[in-house]
Amino acid sequence: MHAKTVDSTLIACRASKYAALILLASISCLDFQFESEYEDINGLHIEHVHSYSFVGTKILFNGSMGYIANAESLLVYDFTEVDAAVYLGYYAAYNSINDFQICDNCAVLVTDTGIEIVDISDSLPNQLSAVPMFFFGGSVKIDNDNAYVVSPNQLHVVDISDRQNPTLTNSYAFNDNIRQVEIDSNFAYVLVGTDFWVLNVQNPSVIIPIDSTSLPALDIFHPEAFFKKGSFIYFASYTTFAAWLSTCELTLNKDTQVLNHIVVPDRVRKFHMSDEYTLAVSWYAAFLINLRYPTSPCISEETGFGGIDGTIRDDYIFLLTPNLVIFEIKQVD
Amino acid sequence: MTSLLFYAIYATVTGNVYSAELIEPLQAHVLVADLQQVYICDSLGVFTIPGIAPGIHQLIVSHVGFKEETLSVAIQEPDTIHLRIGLRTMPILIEEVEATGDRIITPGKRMLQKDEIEIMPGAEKNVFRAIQMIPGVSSASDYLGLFYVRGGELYENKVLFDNVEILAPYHYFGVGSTFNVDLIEDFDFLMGAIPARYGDAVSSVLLLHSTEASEEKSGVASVDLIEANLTYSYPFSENLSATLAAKRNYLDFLLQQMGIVEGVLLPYFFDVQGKINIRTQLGDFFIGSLHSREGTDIEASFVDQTVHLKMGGMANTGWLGWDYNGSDRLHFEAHAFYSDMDRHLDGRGPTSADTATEDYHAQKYGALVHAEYKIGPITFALGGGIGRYGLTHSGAKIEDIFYKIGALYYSLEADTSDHYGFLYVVQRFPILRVFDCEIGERIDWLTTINKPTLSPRLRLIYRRNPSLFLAYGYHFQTPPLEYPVREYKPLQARSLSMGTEYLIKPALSTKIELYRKNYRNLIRGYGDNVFFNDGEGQASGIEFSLRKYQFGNLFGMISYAYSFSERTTPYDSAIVTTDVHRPHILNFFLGSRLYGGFRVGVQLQLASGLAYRPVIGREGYGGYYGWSPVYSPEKERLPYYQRFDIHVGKEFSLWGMRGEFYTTVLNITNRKNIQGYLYNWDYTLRKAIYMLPLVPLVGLRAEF
Repeated sequence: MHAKTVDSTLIACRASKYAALILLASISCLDFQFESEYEDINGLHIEHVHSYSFVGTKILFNGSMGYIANAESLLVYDFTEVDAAVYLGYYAAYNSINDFQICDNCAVLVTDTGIEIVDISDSLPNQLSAVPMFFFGGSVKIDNDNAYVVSPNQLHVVDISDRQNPTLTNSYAFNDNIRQVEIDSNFAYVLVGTDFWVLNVQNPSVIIPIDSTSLPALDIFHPEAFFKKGSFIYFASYTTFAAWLSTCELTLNKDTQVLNHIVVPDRVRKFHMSDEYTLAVSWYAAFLINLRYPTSPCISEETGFGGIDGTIRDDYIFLLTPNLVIFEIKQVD
Repeated sequence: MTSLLFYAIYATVTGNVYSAELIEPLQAHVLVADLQQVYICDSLGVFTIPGIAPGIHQLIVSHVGFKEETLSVAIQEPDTIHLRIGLRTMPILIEEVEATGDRIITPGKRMLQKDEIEIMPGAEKNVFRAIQMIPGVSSASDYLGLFYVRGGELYENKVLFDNVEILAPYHYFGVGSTFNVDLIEDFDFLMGAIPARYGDAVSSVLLLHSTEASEEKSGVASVDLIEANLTYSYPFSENLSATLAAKRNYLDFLLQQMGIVEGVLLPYFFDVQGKINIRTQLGDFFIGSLHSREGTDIEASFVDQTVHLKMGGMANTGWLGWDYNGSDRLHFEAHAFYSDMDRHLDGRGPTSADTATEDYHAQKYGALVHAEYKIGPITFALGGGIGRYGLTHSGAKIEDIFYKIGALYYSLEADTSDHYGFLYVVQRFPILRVFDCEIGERIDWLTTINKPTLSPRLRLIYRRNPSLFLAYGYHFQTPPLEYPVREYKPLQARSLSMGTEYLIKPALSTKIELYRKNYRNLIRGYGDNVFFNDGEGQASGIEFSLRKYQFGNLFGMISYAYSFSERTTPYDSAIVTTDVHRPHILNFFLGSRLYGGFRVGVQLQLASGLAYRPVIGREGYGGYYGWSPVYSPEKERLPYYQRFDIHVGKEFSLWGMRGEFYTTVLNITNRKNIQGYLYNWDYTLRKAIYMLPLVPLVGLRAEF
């Protein structure tokens, strides 16, 4: 065997040294990323589209036609182009329109003296019937050709199957003023003072109370509005220091439990729900509520405006501030 | 074979002896025949014959199992002569004998040796990185050297160095532990079926064993881009030796100088560890100490927000031990120790509401004895100890601050101190010559717990190939005293594990283990600053591993663990999966010694992402600082974790030293593993915070 005189160890040392130097030099060229770019949490953002000068107290849609209540007038606009609405005309009611609902090309208007049913199949509405039934009519909801009308402390059920001849079917009286009523699947959910009532209205001529809950007992003070989704009821209320949204699970004939309370920016007066979104409107704020987890509602997007009322159609928010301001709900890339 | 070589007079002859087939160094004998002097190669196969006289000398190189080589060296003038001598294998004919042996299978026990730790990428400076290769062990972050076992919490693991409990074995926000790897010979990691000798831990016990006392002066120095390390051993006499090790990292300084990360100072830490060994006729005495210090001053700016985290910590441990072998059958151990740690942390987030501080002081001291006596195949062991443990705490816990990356509205106020004690007895015996059985009973008087706890433990092993094992036992632990509860109860775990291990061929084995654990008296949180000591949980899983032990050039392990774990935590009163639990963990490690003195290690880890509760929206008054996050009621998982590390080293021998140049690249694919999310001021936007990016390290390690 022949001995080698070549010092392979020193060669390896030199090679390693050069490799180390190259590696050190290349370090400064590497992109060390410790954080990502910002991304939107819920993938949505609200963008202002247009502001109109006309005003109103309530807005609803029938297709692309928008109907705005303004004193005794029901204004009609074509919102085919959302940012270029076309005024078509108006319907003049006998008295100031306190509330109205739309069903089957008809609008049911509630005034201080009764109801007026208006045909809105044409671009210019025309009256079908006007019947004095009660005084100081407030809000109205329609379900199964029945209109449920609130007049301070009474809930009136009006049969409107015959548009020409609506008839008062029944009236149910409470001990306090009714703030809001919602109808869903043969049940009426009624916010009366600080109590929450559930009535069976499957047969409107026989209204059966099912359950009532004292909301202050659930730490829900000064309730002002609510909305229902699935088996959950969400109450807007306020205390001295904050406005709240409280989540309850509806359990008939059992103790209703509050699941959580969250603080909201302002006292919510109205809720509007579409298939995808829930809008909360207060004097100083209008915002979307995320109900991805029904037991943990939260605020997702704010409009930056407050208002009297509003509604959602497709991906647009129509907010009456009282001027009509339109926002688009957009998906974030 | 004889060779004639002509070289210089008064020369030094050095050389490498290696296996011609395996290209592995051999610790061969080199006999200078005419001088009748024998020189022995070191572990790298290097020999040195100094001051050899002029003339022709015969060198006879021999090693068991290899054919002897004879060569002649002719020296004429002063020079240094280098030789490379390859020996060929020569089988040794011996009488055929029947060998029977006991295979030591320990349920839930995993071992790793020093050579494996040195070549594992990243583990050469952090033993806890090596532990993460073990199935059932997960970590929550590349930045925190913390580990979690089978869905358990961090405080449910105990770390012992030479059987002494170390209160602060981790370095927070660092990539290292407090231990100097050069002082670690190997470690045993006990999960689930922990022997009765060890208690006060419901998840795992990590036993680190220090290197043996050195018989000659030696040292190891290593330096790389982030850390410098020095270990030195000095034998004062045949019976007295001392070892001192120190390390300090300087990544913060280096990155700042290189301008890679502006405005961010990463943490520093500094550790000193020492040991004195005294051998007497009355046994071996040893005195050990560990002093560690760390600090962090991180100020990170994210667009319009600044997060500031400042931390300082110090820990000290000292111990005095005694080891005595009365005979082949009798063994005694005793030691006394003192350990304390201090930590202060101050964190400030983007808003004035996002602040968190922590002041933490813990102190523990005690003494314990252990005795073992063997009567034939039966072993009796008994032992006990007493001591005192105290803790004061205020603020939020450091792990919470890091993982939550946001506001923490609670403060853990604790100030408690109490004695503790324990006794245990263990008996190991064979059954029917095919089973090994170990029965243990342990009694603990845990700190702050009024009643003693009884922990029976059973292990049964079927000694064949494949072997079967079964282990069952109760484990109790002092609850984390930082959480103020009305009455402390001991954490309790009932553990059952079973499995099989099969030795496929020498040095290659496979193991499957199933386990089930039930927890009681866990800490559960219920709203801010309200905690209870009555939570429950369960964990179960299956772990598979295939391991090639270091025998020859190639060694490594592939393992897969699937686990299911749900429990209450200080943040969740409900029984839910914990944030740090990863259901699927796949580990792969391969190390090899290549031709030319190269050593290569690769490590791949694939694991489920951490669980977290995403922010789904907000609540509040609105306006700046008026928002609070609303968290999802259901946990989601971050994207899966992947990290591929590589270590390449080249051994060398120079100026009487041997060493290694190495390059370690952590996260070589630069995978952006998400640690968590930071949110903007109104919780409409979030950004991901990543774990370690690609980190190249170049270093030099020298043994002298």
